[in-house]
Amino acid sequence: MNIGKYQFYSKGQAQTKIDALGFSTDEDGNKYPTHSHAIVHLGNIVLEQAVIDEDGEIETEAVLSGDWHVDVLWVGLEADEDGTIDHPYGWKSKSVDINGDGVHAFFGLNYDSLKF
Amino acid sequence: MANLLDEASILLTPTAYNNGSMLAVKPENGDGDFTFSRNSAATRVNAQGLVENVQILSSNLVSNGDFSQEGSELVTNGNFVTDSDWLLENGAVINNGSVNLLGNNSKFRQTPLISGKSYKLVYEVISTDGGSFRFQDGVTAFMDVPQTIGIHTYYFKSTGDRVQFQATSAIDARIDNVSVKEVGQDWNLGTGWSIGNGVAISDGSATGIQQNPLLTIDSTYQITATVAGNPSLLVFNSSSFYEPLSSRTLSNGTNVYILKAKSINFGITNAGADICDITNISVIEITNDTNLPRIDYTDGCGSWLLEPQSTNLITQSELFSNAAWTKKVNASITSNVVISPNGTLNSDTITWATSGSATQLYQVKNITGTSQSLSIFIKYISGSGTNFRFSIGTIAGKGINLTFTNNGATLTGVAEVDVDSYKIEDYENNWFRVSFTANYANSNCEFNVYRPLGTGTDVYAIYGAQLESSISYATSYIPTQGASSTRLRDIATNSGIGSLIGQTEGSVFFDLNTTLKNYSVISISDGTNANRVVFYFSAVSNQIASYITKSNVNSSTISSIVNSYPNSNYKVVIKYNSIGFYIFANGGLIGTIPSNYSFPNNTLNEIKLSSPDNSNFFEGKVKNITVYNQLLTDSEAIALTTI
Repeated sequence: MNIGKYQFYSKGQAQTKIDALGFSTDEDGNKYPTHSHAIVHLGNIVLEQAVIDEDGEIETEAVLSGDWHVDVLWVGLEADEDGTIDHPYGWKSKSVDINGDGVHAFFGLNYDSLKF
Repeated sequence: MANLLDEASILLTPTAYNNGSMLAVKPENGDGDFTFSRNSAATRVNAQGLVENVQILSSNLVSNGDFSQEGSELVTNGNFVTDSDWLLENGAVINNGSVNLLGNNSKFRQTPLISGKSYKLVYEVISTDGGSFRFQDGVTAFMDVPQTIGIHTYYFKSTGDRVQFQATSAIDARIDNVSVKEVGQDWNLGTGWSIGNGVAISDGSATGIQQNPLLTIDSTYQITATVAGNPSLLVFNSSSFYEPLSSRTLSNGTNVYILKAKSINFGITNAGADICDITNISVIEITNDTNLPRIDYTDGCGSWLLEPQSTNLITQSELFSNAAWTKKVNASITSNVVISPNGTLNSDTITWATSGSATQLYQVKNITGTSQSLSIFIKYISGSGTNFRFSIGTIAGKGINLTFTNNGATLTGVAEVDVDSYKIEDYENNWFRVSFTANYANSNCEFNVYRPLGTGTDVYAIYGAQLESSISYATSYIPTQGASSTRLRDIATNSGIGSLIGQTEGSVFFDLNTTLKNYSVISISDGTNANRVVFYFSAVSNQIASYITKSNVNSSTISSIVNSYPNSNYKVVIKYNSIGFYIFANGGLIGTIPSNYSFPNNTLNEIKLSSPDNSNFFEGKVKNITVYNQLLTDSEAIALTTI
C-alpha cells in the first residue's frame, strides 16, 4: 500500500483522473469503481484557520485553497522493472509531499511510512 | 428432520478471524473461510462493551506517563508535633507545633533523599518577618523557594540527601507541614530535565528522558505525547525507532505517531535549545495488520460488522479543549476527567453554568452531499439533565433535544423536523452514543452542542465527536487527533468453492441486518452477473428481496415486508432447484417463483457480501451465513428462520 496526496486545479480535473482508474455502471445506472484503491476528496482545504474571538465570533474568515485536494490509498500497485513503485501514470505531476498527515489521515496508517 | 448443522457445507459465525480472513466453523479445512480486506484500522465495541481499535494489542506500556505519580512520605514529623526527628542548628527550635527559624544561618534538616531522584516539596510558611531562607539538599542550594506566608509546592531534582531549610539572613519565621515525596518514578531524567506539576520540564539542555526497557524490537507502537511550548527539535529518539526525523518530531499540542521500534529503550530528546513541557505520554503496541475483521458487540452479542468507507471530518474528536473547537464564553471544558467509552481516563466534561447561545461548543467543517450524519458519546454527570441540544449549528429543525433521567441511566431524545433518523445507543456506565442524520446541503456544517434553555449548573462528559458527510447513517467511531481520518470499506468474499455450493439444488441461510436500506446485497454467483442468487434489502423499510439470474435471464423479484426480530436482525432461507426458488423469513414462506433454477455443475462458485461485480456492498451485521448443497425441506426452512 502507498499513500499519495494530490492537488488538482478543479474537482472536475480530479474526477477525470479518478475515472481513468476504472469504473463501471450497475444495472441501475450507478457508477462504481472497478479498482481497489481508496480515494478521499478533501476539496478546497483550509490553508489558514479562521480567527475567532473570545465570544466565539469570527474575526477573520478561514483561507481556503483554490485547488481541489485528494488523498489516495493505493492498493496493489505493481513495481517497475527496477523494483520501484510509483504513482500511476498521470498522477505524479499532481502529487504533493508533506511531512506528517496534514489535514487528513487514513485511520491507523502512517503517511510518512507509506508515501512514495 | 436432519441435523442441520451436520448438513451444512459452509457455516460462518462470528467466532474467529485472522488478518485477512473470517474463519468458518465448517468446513474445518479452511475452504469455507471468507477472504477479508479493509486496508485500514477500525473500531468496534468489544465483549466488555468498550470501544476498541482492533489494531491495538496492549494497554499503555509507559508507567507514570502523566508524571502525576507520587511516592510515599519521606519526611518524619513534618508537622512538628514533637521535638524529634529533625536536626536543629544555630538557633532553630521546634515548639508550638511548628519550627522556628530564628537568626541568620539557623537551620533544620533530615536526610531522606537519594541523589539524582526528583521530588515534590510542600511546606507552609506560617509567619515571617521578611528575612530570607533557602532550601538545601546538601549539595545544591535552591534559593528560589517561595518565602511568603502560605502553602507552597516546589519540585526539584536532588543532588544530595538532605531536606534542609536554612536562613540566609537575620530572620524570625515559622514553618510547618513539611512534606517530601518522590515524583517522576520510572523515568530517567537527563541533565536539565525536572518534574513539575504533572509534567516533565526541559530547560533547553540537549538531553532527554527515558524509560527502559519498554519496547520490543520490530514491534509497532502508537505513541502519544502532549507538549507545551514550541520546541524546535524535540524528538522520539532515533536510537529507539526506525522512522525518519520528520516522522518522530514533536510540536506544541497533542502528538500521535505510529513508530516501529529498533531498540528496547524508549526515549525522548530535546535536541533543540528550547524550554518545553511534556506529559500524557503513552506507548501502545499495535499491529501493522490492516485487514482485521470486526466482531462487534454493540447489541450485546457478537456480529461481523461490515461498513462502507467513511471519514470523520472532526479533527479533534476527543480533545474538546483543543483550539479546533470553538467554545463560547459560557461553555467550560475540563480535560481527561471521566473514564471514557474506551475504558481510559480521557473523556472531557462540558459545564454549563447558564444557558443560551453563549454555551455553544462547535466545530465547522466543509461538507458535500445532502445527508449529514453527526454522532457523539454523552454521559450525564450532574445538574438538570435536560435541554442538551445536539444539532447542526443553532438552526431550528436540524437537531435533537436530549433529556437524561434516572440519574443519567436513561436518555431520551426528541428529534426536530429536518432530522431524517436518529439513534440513541446505550453503552456501559451510563454512556450513550447519540447519532442523527439530517438533510442538509451546504458548503459547510457546524457540529454543535449547547444548552438553549435552563438554569443552574449542568455537567456532562462528552467523547468521540464524529461528522460524516454524504452518508445516511453514523458508522462506527473513527478517532481523530489533529486531522480528519478515513476508515476504509470492509470487503468479504469466498470464491473457488463450487463444491460447497449446491448447483442443481441448494439452500442458504442468513441471520443478519443492514444499516443501508437500499441494495445492501449478498450474492452467490459464478463471479459475474450472468448466474447468481441475490439477496438484498430494498429502499422500503423492513423489505427484503431476492431474485435469481440464470444464463443472463433475471427471474422476477420476490420481496416482502418482514419485521425484524429482537436486535433488529432477519432470519432468511433461500432455496432453489429445478422446480423454482423460494424465500422463507422469520418463520414463514414469503414468496415462490416456479421455474427451473437448477444450475449446471460448478456454475455457482463464490459468495460475496456484495453484488458479484463488487457493487452494492452489504453494509450491516452478520450473525450467521450457512450454505447447504442440497434443498432444505419447507419445515427445515421454517425451523431455521423461526424467531
